[in-house]
Order: sequence, then C-alpha cells, then structure tokens
Amino acid sequence: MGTRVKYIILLFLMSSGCIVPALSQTPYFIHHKVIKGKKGYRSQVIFQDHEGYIWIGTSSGLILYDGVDFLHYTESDGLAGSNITAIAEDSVGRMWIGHNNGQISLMKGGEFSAFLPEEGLGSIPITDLVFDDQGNMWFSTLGEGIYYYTGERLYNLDTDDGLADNYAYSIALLEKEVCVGTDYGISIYNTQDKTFRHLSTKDGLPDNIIKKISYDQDGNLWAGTDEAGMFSIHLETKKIKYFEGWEFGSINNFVLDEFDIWISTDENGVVQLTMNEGGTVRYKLISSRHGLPSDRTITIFLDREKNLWIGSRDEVTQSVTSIFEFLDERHGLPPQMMVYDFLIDENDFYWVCSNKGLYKLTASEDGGFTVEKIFRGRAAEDYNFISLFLDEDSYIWAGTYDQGVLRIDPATYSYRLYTTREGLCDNNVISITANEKWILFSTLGGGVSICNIDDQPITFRNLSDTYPRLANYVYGTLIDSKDRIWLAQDADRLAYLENDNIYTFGEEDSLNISTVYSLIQDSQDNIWFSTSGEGLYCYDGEQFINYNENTGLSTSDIRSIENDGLGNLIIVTNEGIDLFDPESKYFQRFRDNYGVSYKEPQLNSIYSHTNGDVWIGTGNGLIKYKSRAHLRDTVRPVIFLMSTELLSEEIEMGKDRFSHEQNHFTFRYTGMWYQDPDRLRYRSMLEGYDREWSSPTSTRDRTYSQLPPGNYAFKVETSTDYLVWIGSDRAEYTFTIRPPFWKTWWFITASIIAVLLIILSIFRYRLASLRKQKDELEREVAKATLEIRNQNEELESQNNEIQAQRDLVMDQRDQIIRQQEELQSSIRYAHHIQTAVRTPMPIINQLLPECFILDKPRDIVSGDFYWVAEKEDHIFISVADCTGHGVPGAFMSMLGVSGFNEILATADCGLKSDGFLNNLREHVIKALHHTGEDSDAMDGMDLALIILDKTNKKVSFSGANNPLFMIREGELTEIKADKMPIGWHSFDHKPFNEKLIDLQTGDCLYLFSDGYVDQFGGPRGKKFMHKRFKELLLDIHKKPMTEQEMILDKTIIAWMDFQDQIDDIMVMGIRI
Amino acid sequence: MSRLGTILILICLAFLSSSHSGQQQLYYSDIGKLDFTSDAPLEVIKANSGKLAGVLNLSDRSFSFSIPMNSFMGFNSALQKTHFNENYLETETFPKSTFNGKIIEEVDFKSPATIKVRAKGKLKIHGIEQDRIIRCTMKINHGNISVETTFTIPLEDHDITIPSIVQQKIAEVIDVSISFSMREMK
Repeated sequence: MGTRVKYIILLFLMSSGCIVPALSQTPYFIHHKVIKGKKGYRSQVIFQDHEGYIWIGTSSGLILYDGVDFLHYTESDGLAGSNITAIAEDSVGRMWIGHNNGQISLMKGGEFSAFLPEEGLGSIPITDLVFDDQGNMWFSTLGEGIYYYTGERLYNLDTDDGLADNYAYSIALLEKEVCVGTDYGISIYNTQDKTFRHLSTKDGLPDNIIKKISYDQDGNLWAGTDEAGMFSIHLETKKIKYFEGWEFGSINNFVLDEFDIWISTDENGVVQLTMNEGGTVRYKLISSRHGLPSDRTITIFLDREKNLWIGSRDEVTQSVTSIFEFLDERHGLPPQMMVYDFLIDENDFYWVCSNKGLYKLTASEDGGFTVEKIFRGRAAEDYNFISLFLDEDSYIWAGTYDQGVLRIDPATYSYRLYTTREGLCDNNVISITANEKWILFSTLGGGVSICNIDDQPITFRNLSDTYPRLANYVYGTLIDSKDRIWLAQDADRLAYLENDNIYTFGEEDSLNISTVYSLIQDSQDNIWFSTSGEGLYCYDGEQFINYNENTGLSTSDIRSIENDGLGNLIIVTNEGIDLFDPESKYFQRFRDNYGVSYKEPQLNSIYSHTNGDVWIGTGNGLIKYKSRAHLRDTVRPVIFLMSTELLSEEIEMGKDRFSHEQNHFTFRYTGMWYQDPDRLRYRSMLEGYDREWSSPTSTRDRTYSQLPPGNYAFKVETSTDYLVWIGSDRAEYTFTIRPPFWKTWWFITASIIAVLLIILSIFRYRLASLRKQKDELEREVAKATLEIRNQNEELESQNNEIQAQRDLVMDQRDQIIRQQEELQSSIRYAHHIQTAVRTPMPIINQLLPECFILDKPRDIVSGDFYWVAEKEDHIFISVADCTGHGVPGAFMSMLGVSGFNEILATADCGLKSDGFLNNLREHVIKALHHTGEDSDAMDGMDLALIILDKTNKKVSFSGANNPLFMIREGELTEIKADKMPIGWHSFDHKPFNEKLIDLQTGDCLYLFSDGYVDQFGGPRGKKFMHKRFKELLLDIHKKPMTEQEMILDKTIIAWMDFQDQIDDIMVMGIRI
Repeated sequence: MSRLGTILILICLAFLSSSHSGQQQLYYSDIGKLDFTSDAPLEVIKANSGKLAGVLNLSDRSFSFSIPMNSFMGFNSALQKTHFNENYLETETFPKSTFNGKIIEEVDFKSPATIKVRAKGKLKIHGIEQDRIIRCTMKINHGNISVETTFTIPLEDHDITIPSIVQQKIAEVIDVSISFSMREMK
C-alpha cells in the first residue's frame, strides 16, 4: 500500500475520534544554513577528514565546518568547479574533490588546485571517490564507468572492460575487490586478475539500480537501491539479506550505524532502519513533519561523534546524536501533555499517565504509534493518573490524585479501584514499587501502604501504623538488593525498613537534608538519593558522599534519577540531563543542543526499560534516552593547533628554533565537538613561561609577545564540563628561542676563555719580561759585583795605602801638633813681648783719660798696633796696620813701634805728623832693605798719626792710607789720609801731608785699622764698610769710651757671627 | 519507465540502425606523423616517422593504429639509429607498435568542431601492452578528421632497458607527438 493512501486512511481514522495514528519519535535537529545569503543550492555530499573537520560539498561550492565557522570555497579559490559531488581524503591528508563537470580538485596545504593527469579527465559527473589501501584513487562517473589513478597513470574501466554499466553511482573497496554500484547491478572488479564479475536481479538482487554501496565491519556489502530499499549481501557466499516493507522510494545515500541504518531518500526524508533481535526490521520515518527542511534528503553522513548530517536543499541538518528522541504532540499526544509516569508493558504497549488522562500508545508498522486514551467515556477517564506500575501478573497499577489506585487489565481495560475504603493509607498514590512479594504504594499524606500480591482479596498494611515516626509524605520507595525498603520521605532523615526494624540517618551521620525525593541503587549496591536543595547523595554502606554545584552537579533541583544500565547515573533537571560516571566523576551534560533543556521534567517521572532505554516524562510529552546509543558515544572532543604564527605570519612546518628577536607568537587552535560546539572551553599554557593553565575561555587563540630566550612548549586543552580536560599531541608545539649570541653559553665560555688566555698571555709576557729583566739585572749585578769586587780590591789596596798614609799623616799630625804647640807657645810668648813693647794702658789712661782701644788680633799676635807717647806736652797717638797679620804682622808692629820710638827720640820732625811719617817711612824702608825691585817684599804699614796739642786744642794728623774720624756735635768728619803706606810703594815717595784740626771739648777722634770695616759678616756675608762704621760711631760717640769700646766689640762680634775674623782689628777712640 | 528500460530501447535502436545501414563508417590515415624526443642530460635525440597508419570507426568510436618501428628517421647518427632498432626496440622482433581502443567521449562526427577527446586503449610497444588513455584534439571538418596529441612513454612500461653506461644520454620517459588526418574509407 502506498504511503499516500495510508495517510488518507489514517486521516479518516483520526476524524473518527477513535485512534490517532502517529509517526515515530523525533530526534533533535540543528539547522545549518551553510552558505549565508544564498538559496537554491543543494548539499550533495558530506565528509569528515582525519582531523575532524566536516566538509560539505554543495552545488555552489565547498564548505568547511569546524563547529564554529563555515568557510566557503569556490572556483575562485582554485577549485576545478563549484558543483561538488564527491569528497575523499588520501593517506597523507590531502582532500580530493569530485565535481559535477567531471573534474577533480586537490587540496594540499590549504591550497586548492585542479587535478590534471596527463590522460585528462572527462566532463561526466563524478559520483563517488575513494582510496584503496595502496593509495590508488578510484572514482565513479555517470557515463564513463570508473577510473583509478595509481599516482602515475589514470586508467578507465567501463563496459568495454567488463563493467556492468557505465553509469556508476558508488564504489566500495574491500581488500582486492572493487565493488561498483551501477544501473545494472553490482560489478565486482578483482584488481589482481583484472576481471569483473556481476550481480544483478538475475542473481537475486532486489533492484538493478544500485545507488549506494558500503561494506560493514563484518565484510557484508550493503546496498541502497532505487526502488527496493536496502539489502545486504555476502559476496563470497552470495547470501542476500532482504528487508521487506520498503515503501520510501529511491535511496540517495545511507550510513551504517551499530544498530541502525540511516537512509536518505529522494522523496521521503530520512528513514531509520532498525534491526530487531528476531531479525525483523523496523522503519522509522523522519520527515519534514519532524523538522527536516525537506523530504528530499540528498545525502546523509554519520560523523565520529555519531551526529547525523543530512544534506538537502539550502541547508545541512544536524541531528545531535541519536541519544534522545522525543514523543510529543507531533506524534499525536495531546498538546501540553504533562507526563507523570510511563511504562512499557510486555506487549510493547506504551502506557502514559498524564494530566490529560491515561494513554496507551501502540507502535505501528511504519514505526509510528497510535495513541489511545484509556477509559474514554468511563468514570476513570477524568482521573488524575500520577503513577504506573506493571505487576508480575501483567496488570497495570495506576495511582491517582485523590482517587486511589487502579489495577487495570491491559487487555480489556477493566479495572479494580482501591481507596482508603479498602485500607489504602491515602488516595494520593504518587509512586508504586514492588518486589516478588510486596507492592508498596507511596502516598502524599498517608505514608506507605504495603500489600501482598498473592493476597485475595488484597489488603493493605500501612507502615505509619507500625512506625509512627515515619513521615506521611513519601515520594517513593526503593527495595534494594538486600530487601531493605528505603523511603524517600518528606523529613530530615533518611529511613529504611529491614527485618521489621526502622533505621534512620540524619545530622549525626553528616546528612543535612530536609526531604528525599528519589531513590535508586546502582550496580555496586550504593544507594543514591536526591534531596530538596542539598543535591545528590551516595551511601556506600559506611558514609554519605554529597554531590552539589561545587562538585560538578549543574543544579541541586533534581527531578529524577535513574541508572542507565551502563554504570552511569542519569540526573534529570529542568536545565537538562546530566550523565554522571561515579568512577571518573565525569559529568556529561546534555542541554539545548540536544533539545532536553527546560522541558519541565516531572518529579520522579522516569522509567527504565529492559532494553536500556530510559523514558523521562516532561511537561510536554516524553524524552527517550537511548542508553545503547550513548554506549557508543565515547568520542571526546578533539583539540589541535591550527596554526602557529610569528608576528602574524604562519610559521612553516618543522621550524621550531627562533632568534631572540623572533619572540611574538600567536597560537590558533580549535576543538571539534559537533554535538555542542558552544560548550567547548579551552585552556592553554606555555611551559617555560606560564606557571599554570589559563582560565577557561571560548576564544581559540592566544598570543605571547616579548618572550625571553628559552625552551617552550605551548599546550592547549579543551573541555565540555570544566572538569575533564582533553589534550593531544596535535595540540602542542615545542620551540626554542635562542638567546643572542652574547648570552649563549659558548660565547660566554669563549669570552671567559679568551679573557683567561689574555690574562695568561699578559702574565706570561710579564713573566718573560721580568725574567729577562732579572737576567739582565743579574748580568749587571754580576758585572757590578765584579767591578765592585775589583774596586774593593783596589779600595782595599788604596785603603792599605791610605792607612799607611794615615799613619804617616798621623805621625805628621802629631809632629805638627807638637810644632804647633811649640809655635803657639812661641807666639804666645811673642804676644807677651808685643804687649810688653806697647805703651802700657795705665800710661795711656793717664795721658788720655777718655779713650779706649779695641784690640782684636786675628791670631795671638797682631799686625795692628797702637803707639802713644808724650813729648813736649804733645801726645802722639797712632794706630797702625802692618802688612800681614799674625807673626809677620807682629814683627812689623815691633818695627813700627821701634820706629816710632826712635823717631820720637831722635828725629827732628818737630811736632808735625807728616814729618813723623816721612821719617817713619824711611826708617821702615831702611829697616826692611827695600830697593824697589820686584823681588823685595812689599811690607809696610798703613797708619793714622795724630799729635794732640791738648793745651791749644789742636791736632796734627797725617795718615798713611788710614783716615781719621772726628765727630763733633753729632757730625762726623773724615780726615783723609795720603794714599801711600809706610814702606816701599810704586808711587814716588812724596812726603806725607799734615792736616791741622782745631779741637773742641767733646770732640771724638777715632783712629782705626781697616780690620773693622773689612770684616765680613752680617745677613749677606758682606764687609762692615766705612758707612756702617761711621753710623755706628755716630750712634755711640756720646757714650762713655769704655761703653763705646764694648759696643764696638759686641757689634763686630755679632757682625762676624760664624764668619772668621779676616784681619786684625784695632779701633782707638779719644774724647777731647 | 526505469532507466534500464530506456537504455535497452536505445540499444535496440542503435542495433537496428546499424543493421539497416549495413556497414560501419570508417575513417583512415596512412601518412600520420609521429615525432619522438629523448631529452637526456647529455644528449637530445629526435626522430620521426611518417608512416603512422590507423582506422577509426565512427559508429562505435573504436580505433586501431600502428607504426612500423624501423621507419623512424632522424637520430644523431647512423649508429644511434642502429642501436635504436637493434638493441632498444628490437625492431626485428617487434616490428610494429600499435594502439587499439575506443574514444571514451561520445562524439558527434557530423558536426564540424574542434573537440578534446580521450582515446582509451592498449598501447603495445616492444611487445609489451599497457592500458593507456591519451588525450587528443580532434578537428572534425566536413569529411575530414584531423587529430593531434602529445603524450609520454616511460620506457620501463614497455620493458625497454637502457644500459647504465648510456643512461645519461637516453631519457627514461620519451615525449611523443602525433598528428594525422583521416578521411573516409570508401
């Protein structure tokens, strides 16, 4: 019967109000408009590469989808055409794209190019493209048979070579056989002997037009046909497996799932073929009525996460795994049907109790259901059914709000009602559980009633009667493996009944609860229960472990919990459904992407079927969780680095060493998780730089700048629940930034070595230099030593000589000393004699009362003398300076004195001084025998002579070179002498002159030798000089004569200081 | 009607038409030119032959061509030619090279046009046959069909061995260029 006719009949039946046919449960769809802003394109082929990217070939280009972005490629990007009909990936990761124009494009390194074999390509559409184990590419065409490319040569196989038909739709490879689906059956090409064999309707195929073929894991070849649906064949045995009942038209494509086959059809949407255990098959139709954009589904694909991808016009529809299916008003259930409980009886009838009443769903042959309201037209029709239970006798127990509980015969719908009248503790029966013996009815207000199944009639025993401490509001009970009855009660204590004893847990057991809502036992015999606001607890027999938002639970508002039969806990909340693995503590969350969020799941409205499916009652129908499907859902998100950039330029493959200036990196990465890509979060860390992982983020890149030299490893991980983080080798990049050469160990080492070498060189040079100097010095020293030695020897010899001389000198010295002493003695005696011949001082004092004579001989005896005599009342005074000093001077002084005496006594010179001197001169010349020859000694004397007439106060002066000073009234007058001595001189012997001077009382007359004025001394070591002598005399002339003598003496002594007296000194002063 | 049914009818029609016509439409050429070049690192060898002959059946697009291997002229020396014939191609043993097959594309031989087609067939040289697809440019012009093509022949494919001593003088892959015109065989 055609599908259309069936619909008409169903519609008639609907109008009769009797039964309502419906279609199958609906998966949840996500609609992808893969080409934005464009309509009319067809999504013709879908492929997933080894990295996880989804490729979609359309009639208007190629789409790459990574879960976040759709990248669109056309001919302008290098494709050989924009109409994509086939996609495959070779063993080295290159993408091969077949086009409707017969061309093939190749994508390598992100770049597209046309595949241009030497043999050329046709212009016939390419329908399929695959790679065999040897790396040969096979592709089928619509009209030229098939081709295969070895990497060097392109070959064609068509009807001339034995192919059944040149219209080839699909290729499947298995070892050495290449199967081709054609318009004339299946051709199998043996690559070894290069022969074809065929299978067609003649061989039992249900249809010759084979649109799609594919091998399963067991080596069976599955085929989708144009008219006869699916079949499978074992090529060796040629055993064909038929699937009856196909009424969905031409198959475009199909995918093999573990238990199902998903088929895209040309006119009827997607058909889910499920094989039952008995070998029968069931078809479930998913069409535009269930949310598909079109009933013409061009292609279908199952990715590794088990998401279904359906290509059609203007979009690709993604079915996020087939974990969940929905049963709601789309399937004939009453709108806004709040499902409180659900069960499947042994005849596979679905029982649904809801706010709309009690319903029974019957599966139809087309995979849909008919929906029937139980008790229509009867009193129970309006009961508020809130709980269901199937007892061992196959009766349905249905609890109600306020009407008690019904025991229903599912075949006849007859029932027996039990209320408080029959002993039920309360008419609000919210939950029903049982074991082999007992059925427990949990009520809101009466606690729990128990009845024995075998009792006839059924009588109820109320636990509250026996155990008054139990709460009256009990949301459910659990009979565990030890036959303990656990109560989910509205109390702050968890209670269980064992062997007629009640045991409770409360605060003392670290259990802080107010209400227990749900109870289950897992395969490890742990008791799990949900609470009001305190989350989930697990009791392992010894302690309670709490799970709340802090430990991964998405919310503490848990509506129901159940085992999934695979060791996981199903936790139903209004936010969605969590699957919790108690071993790994991993929460897998299903939310909007699965269509399970905010469905208003009802409290404890959950049913676990023996086939593993779990049904959840919501505010609008039912959600079916296919646990077996989720068993296969072990695929975790994949994370990998897409690119690494250095200063915004992509780093070439294999480069991992950089200079110190290359320190700005950007890492771009992505995770593949098509079920719920928005849930993916990333964390990254640069080992060697970061101390810890970054905070989770949804961004897919990270940049580091100004990285110092060092070794680094960038890692990125992804997670769907912030708990379990998934990384991979492809999500790591190890690299090194080299330090600048001046910071490298070798440079530093070399520098240190160089410095050390320099130091060493300097040291060695210095050492050599010092050694050289030392050698030189040693040579010099040796030379000097030799010289010194020689000198020493010479000195020694000289020393000996000197010593000898010294001894001689010492002898001579001694002799000299003796002679000197003798001489000194002689001189002293000579002085004595000299003094004796001078006029004695008493006589002088008598003649001249005021006078002094300063006599300072240079040696013991002096060449200077004074002479004072009186005659005829005249006083003769002279101070003379004989030539020489010491002994010769003394001799001359003796001569002078004797001359004066003789002249005074004998000479008739009157009292004239000039005459005196003339006579004295002759005397001296005669005495010394001077002849005027050069050989004569120039001995003589310089003197000054005055003849003092005291009576007349006159003085006669004559001087031989020596003047006379006279000071009168503070004024000094120098009376000059004649420039000739007393003795021989070179001048003519002129007579001396006389100067007569009148004297006054108080006049001072000074006669002196030149010894005083010629004495060296003073600060500059000069002579005393006449001028200073005159000034001195002027200063002292008024003082007493003795004092003048003393002053003159001290002055000349002070003048001399440390100078030696150079001449005899004599100064005579006379005051008139 | 299913696609299979349509095809069957067409085949029948084709059979009838060919039966009715009574004969196949054949074009031939006996003066086709073939040039080959061996471009080796130490030497370039060029030779050609004007004796390529062949037949094309327009009705089923099948063809058959051959060329006598001792008809090549050119070479760089007589000795080289002698070596070509005696040592490499062994033309006494394998006097001819042939290419037999079918044009893949459907061609409308009635309409003047210049089209690119692919000749798929078995190329036999030096006694070794290889499946080859050779791209050609075909010019159809009122009873005359001219064809030009260039392709390569790896010597190894046809068991033509080159002594190692002359490997630098003979290329491993030979470039071949063919051109010929065909007229209807009356």
